Amino acid sequence: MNNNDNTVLKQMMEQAWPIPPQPAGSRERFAQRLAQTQHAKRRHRFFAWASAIGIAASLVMALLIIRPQSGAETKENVISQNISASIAELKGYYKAQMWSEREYILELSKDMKPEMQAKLMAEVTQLTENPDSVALTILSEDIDDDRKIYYITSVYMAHLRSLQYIHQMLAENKMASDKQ
Amino acid sequence: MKELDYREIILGCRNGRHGAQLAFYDLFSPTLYASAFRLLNNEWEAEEVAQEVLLKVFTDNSLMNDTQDEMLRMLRRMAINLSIDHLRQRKVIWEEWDDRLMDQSQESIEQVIIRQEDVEQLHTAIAMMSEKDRSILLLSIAEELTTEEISQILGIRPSSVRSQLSRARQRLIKLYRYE
Repeated sequence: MNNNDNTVLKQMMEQAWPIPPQPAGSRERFAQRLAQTQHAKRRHRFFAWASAIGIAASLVMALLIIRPQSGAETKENVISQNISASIAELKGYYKAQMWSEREYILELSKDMKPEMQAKLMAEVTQLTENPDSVALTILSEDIDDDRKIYYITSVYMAHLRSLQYIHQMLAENKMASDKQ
Repeated sequence: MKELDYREIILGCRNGRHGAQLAFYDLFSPTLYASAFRLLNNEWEAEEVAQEVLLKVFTDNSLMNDTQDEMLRMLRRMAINLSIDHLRQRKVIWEEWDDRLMDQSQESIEQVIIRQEDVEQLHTAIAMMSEKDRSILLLSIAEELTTEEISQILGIRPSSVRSQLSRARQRLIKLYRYE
């Protein structure tokens, strides 16, 4: 079969088997289907984004819940937690002793003139509370944790000794006056 | 349509512009409808196939081709594949055939039909053919597909395509002669 025959046969076939026009309203139906398809695509995209955001939010929430536990395992957090625990222990220990000293001083200063006693107790209260702010300042300094604990202990000890000294002085005065 | 116009249409389609999409429809839909109708012989099914193919392209921008000829070739191929799927739903099945079934002493379809030049008779003969024979013949003659291309579309060996094409030609000659 040569090319000419081929073309003639094709033409005859096209004449014999003609293509009817597209059904009426075909273009309008297509426009409508296209609009529906694109609407569905946009909706699908919206839900895809919404699910992605939802999943991301869940992940962030899960991480926030998990973080304190996993964070505790890092070296920095262990040190930080250790020093916090140590400082709290220190503070608790010295505070208890200082309050105890304060109570003794209050008891021993009962016989003093009210103005004198108020003045003394104000100074005692300041001695009891002052170490807390000094300890916070030391904690914020960029030095080793061991040094921090050493300095803070020294501060609390110094204040406790001052209170013990006042207590001792008042006790000696009271003994002397009782003897007389 | 000029190449530049086609580029504008493609650009518009990629950006989801409605006007460009309808221009794309106007440009390709008649060819797709024709290819589908030849195989399905039903206007509504052919319209469905043509629109389905175009919607598929609009929902997947990666299918858009910057060259009009290549775009047309790809769309036609998609329309033919989809039409074949429709035929399969009608239980039209193409099986593998033995090469030896091919009649070597067949008459030339071209010589017989061209000699008589009776279009009406040819129409009746084509209409009387089975869907299986008619579709393979139209794929070869009207759609100008090669044996290999038909083999890919129908999912059978090229030798089977040749055998079935040979039988379809002989059927057409027989129907054409005796109508």
